[in-house]
Amino acid sequence: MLRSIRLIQRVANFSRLANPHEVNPKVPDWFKSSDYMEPRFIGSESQQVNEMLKAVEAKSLDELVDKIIPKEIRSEAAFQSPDNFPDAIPESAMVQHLQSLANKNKLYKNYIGQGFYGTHTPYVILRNVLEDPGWYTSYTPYQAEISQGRLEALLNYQTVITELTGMDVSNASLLDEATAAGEAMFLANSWFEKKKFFVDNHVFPQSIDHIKTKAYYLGIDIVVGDAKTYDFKDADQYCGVLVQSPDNLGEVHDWSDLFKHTLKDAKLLKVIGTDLLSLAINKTPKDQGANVTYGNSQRFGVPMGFGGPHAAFFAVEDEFKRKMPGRIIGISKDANGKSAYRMSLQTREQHIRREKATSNICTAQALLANMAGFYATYHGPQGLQKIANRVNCLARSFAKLAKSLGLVVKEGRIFDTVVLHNTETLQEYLHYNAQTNVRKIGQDTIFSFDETHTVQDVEDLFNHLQHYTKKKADFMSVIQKVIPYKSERAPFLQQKVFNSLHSETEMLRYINYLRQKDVSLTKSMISLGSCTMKLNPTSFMLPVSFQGFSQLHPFSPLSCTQGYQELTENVEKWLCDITQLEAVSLMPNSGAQGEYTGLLCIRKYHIMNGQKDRNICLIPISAHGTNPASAVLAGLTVVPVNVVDGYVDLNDLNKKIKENEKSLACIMITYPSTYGVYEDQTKKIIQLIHEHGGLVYMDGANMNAQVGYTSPGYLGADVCHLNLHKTFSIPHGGGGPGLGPIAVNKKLAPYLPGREHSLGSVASSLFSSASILPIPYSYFGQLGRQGAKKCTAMAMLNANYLMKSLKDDYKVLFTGQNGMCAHEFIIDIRPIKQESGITEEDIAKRLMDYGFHAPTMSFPVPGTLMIEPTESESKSELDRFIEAMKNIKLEIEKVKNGQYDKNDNPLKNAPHTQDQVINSGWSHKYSREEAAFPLPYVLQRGKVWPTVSRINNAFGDRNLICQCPSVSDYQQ
Amino acid sequence: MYMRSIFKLRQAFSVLTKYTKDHEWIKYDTQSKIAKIGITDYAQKELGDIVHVDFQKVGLVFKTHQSLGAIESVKVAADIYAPVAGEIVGINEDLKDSPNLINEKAEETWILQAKVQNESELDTLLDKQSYDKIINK
Repeated sequence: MLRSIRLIQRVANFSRLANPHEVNPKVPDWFKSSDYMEPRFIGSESQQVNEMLKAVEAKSLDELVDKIIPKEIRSEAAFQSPDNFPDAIPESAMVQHLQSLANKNKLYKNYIGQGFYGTHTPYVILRNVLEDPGWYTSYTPYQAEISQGRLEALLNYQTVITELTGMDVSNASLLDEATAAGEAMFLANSWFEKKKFFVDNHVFPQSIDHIKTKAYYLGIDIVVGDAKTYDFKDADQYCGVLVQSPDNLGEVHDWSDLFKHTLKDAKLLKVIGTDLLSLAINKTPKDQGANVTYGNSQRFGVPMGFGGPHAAFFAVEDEFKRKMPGRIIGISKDANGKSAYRMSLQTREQHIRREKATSNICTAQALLANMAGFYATYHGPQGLQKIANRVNCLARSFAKLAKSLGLVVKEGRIFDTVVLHNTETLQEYLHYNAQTNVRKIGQDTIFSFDETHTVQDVEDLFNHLQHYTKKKADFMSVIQKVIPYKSERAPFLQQKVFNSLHSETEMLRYINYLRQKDVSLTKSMISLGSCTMKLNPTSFMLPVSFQGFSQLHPFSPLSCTQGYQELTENVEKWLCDITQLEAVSLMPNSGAQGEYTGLLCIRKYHIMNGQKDRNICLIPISAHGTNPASAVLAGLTVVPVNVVDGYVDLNDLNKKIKENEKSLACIMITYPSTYGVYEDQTKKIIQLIHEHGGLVYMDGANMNAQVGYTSPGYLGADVCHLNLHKTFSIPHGGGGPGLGPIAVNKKLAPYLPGREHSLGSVASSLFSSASILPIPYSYFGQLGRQGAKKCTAMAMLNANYLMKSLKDDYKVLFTGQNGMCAHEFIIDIRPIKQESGITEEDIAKRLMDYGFHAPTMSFPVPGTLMIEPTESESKSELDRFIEAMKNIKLEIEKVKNGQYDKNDNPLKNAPHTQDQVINSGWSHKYSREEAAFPLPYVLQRGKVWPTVSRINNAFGDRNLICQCPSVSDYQQ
Repeated sequence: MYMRSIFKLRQAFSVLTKYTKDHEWIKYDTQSKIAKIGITDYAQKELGDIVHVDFQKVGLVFKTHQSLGAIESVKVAADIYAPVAGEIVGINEDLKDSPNLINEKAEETWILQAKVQNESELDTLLDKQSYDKIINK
């Protein structure tokens, strides 16, 4: 079903969008538009830039870059001509241009279904969550004390999932439905250690495609058959059976017979894919005997967006929770015994478990999961049931009406989907005569109804059917006979939060009450190293909500998607230019998924070249945990390579290459390295790997330090992924969405998804989260060649300025040539710990008292902090951070010399909450002022209060609670 | 001669305790031929608050250095490596609900019981003195 063919057409010549006078050097500068993005995007103005340059002893930005980046790796080929990369155009012009692209997408009446449905996003949620930077600019809630708002929202989402599915534990979302199905297969395989997996042939085709892809590279045998008729005499050979209800043709099944009788004692994982809305009236997967259930929460108020982003859900029985992929939010206690939320069971995850992780997923779909959670909160259980019944009644009326015209309707119980047999020309008829898109399989035409459809829509369809069949029947008499099914459900979502926020006033206040608890970019710099928390400009975000982008179904016919085609082709072209590589796939839905796809590309290449035994993947020990986790999922064996003083150990590399000469598949390297330096030996490493028949995967996490100055292609990489949510301004959404397209060279291009020798499918649709592509599109278009390059240089200037300012107080772990860092640097807290007992965590939590979000903790080196300021922060914000860090160092000195108690000091007790500080029983050995207002600016700016004190992590992991408390708990 | 047989007798009924450089201990009962395996106090301190023990199944026949499960703290997951080759005959069920027992009494809390394939392999492991030397380096 994935659209692998596109209309062949000329790529819109973007550079022409720039008004000729704007780019004409003969026109004096004072005539040029006043709304260019560059000066807004870069935090500091020229005077501040000069001051920082002086501090880092460089005369100009160019000289600074020369000092930092080794000559041999510099290449600016990508940025030589406007033919391959555009001139900047002003903000207003770009918004207009994107509106015109959105208008080129045709919003026909949509009944396509197949996992994507129309939905009314409540405007209170649209404006105050999806379009609110308080929600979309925050990071994954690693620093739980200043993330209680979105953690609570995510816990609500998990509760919605467990309540509707009947399962015990839900995670806080996966990337999409197809990958969720793939995760279920992988869980089955690792739990039961068998290499055969059964998939019902009525599962959505996009899910089957992905399961097959994932299985192929892991050597798992997929049997696709009819679970209703298959005898399962060989059940013992399977590690799992995956079915779906409602299925691809809309039939609602009760799988109890299969799972509770036929397979009752079989040692295999029972998986049901399902539709969340249908569960408001239908039997739960748990009641049908499932161990695991998955699906898509998109129709809970998240626009289709031509494929995404949206949150897939994944829920399991208690027994399987420690093998579950993705983030799980749980309830623990803070230092004062107050209930507090946090991410639980993190040892399952890639950043700790590396190649033994349960999945490579890190970015999920937090923002969209929160929207779905709020949607359920706003409607409540009765509201959801009403919507489900309404959709169901529309579908059943339509089925009856079609029958009344003599059409043959597929038998069986339905939820929202109607299949009309023997109607081969109907799809085309409706498309051309009624501007209506429906699905077609063989001779059958398929209609899926959703919340946005009305009785009028059904009547319109009926009228067209009358015309099509040349028959007449009565509409109203049929409509009046259809009444809602009796619900099969026990009461659900009885918790208070789902039964008390149904007025817009209450909902608005709840959303804002939660948002206020969190530190996002609206409050302060978030200097998370390797995460690149740069500006997400409002004008980049605005087009995401344009109807033409947000309301389009991903399987719409090509004639309706012209705007998206131009958008994606331009994004692909510019990514090729920036990486100096040949071709791009926009399919991978996150950075980790990009790694995975890139590695599959490499595997497919070796397989097609008759070298399927090349399965060794070399990974420096400094790599991000997703690297080994992704490699394992791609069926590769990870061989770690040592790192000495921040550089890949060439001796060890040579040794590992020699040991694996015949089986070397590839190396995964990050550039600049995760230690924040431009290694000058990278080209040598790449050459070495190539000489031994291996390929080179470049992790694009640090692409923001390459743009304009060097490129993966120039350095010799064969494939790289790009975190569009880091380098190209897609916001982090509090833990997703992300996008991780891959770029490959000529050699690997034929293996990209949808091409000649496609590696397979890694998402539910070809462009996965297509509706957030206007963001990187705006980045390229509004910053242009010069702006994008300046961003890179400014990121380096800010990092080096910070480093120089802090290096007398904190030990800087690694530097590159001339003692400079790249766009980020690491400070070593281990010596401080040894002298004073103060840890990196104490400093991270203490920064909250100063109103800051901590830098990255203990990655890539344990006991350190990694700081990345990005180009978007101004010198004054950097100075405020420096002031805070220096003051913290003074506090550490006081602990060291005994002025502060070793255990009862502001660092060990950080962060401090409002109720602690105003409590008249304050008994600590330091003052309340020192605790809460350690520097004058904290008071002057307005204090940002952490809402809970230090969270007890062990308690939360030992006593796992991942749902809202029940009503009875409230009463206690 | 007399002394030697006494010594032999004592040895026959004794429990032999050995250590690995990966911070496991193994207590081998020379009479029942069953060994208990746990992690050292040093390892427990390095891991921090232990929240879960991931067991392999009883009946697993394992080689030396094979993973016999994992110990999870809030931020780390550490494999338990087999000190010698053998077969798992029991797991400490108490740890399922109270993994913190390891934090409290690491040297006394066994994680699993195993049949040892080849007694002489125990000789290759560290005694208390040599292990202490390693951790105090």
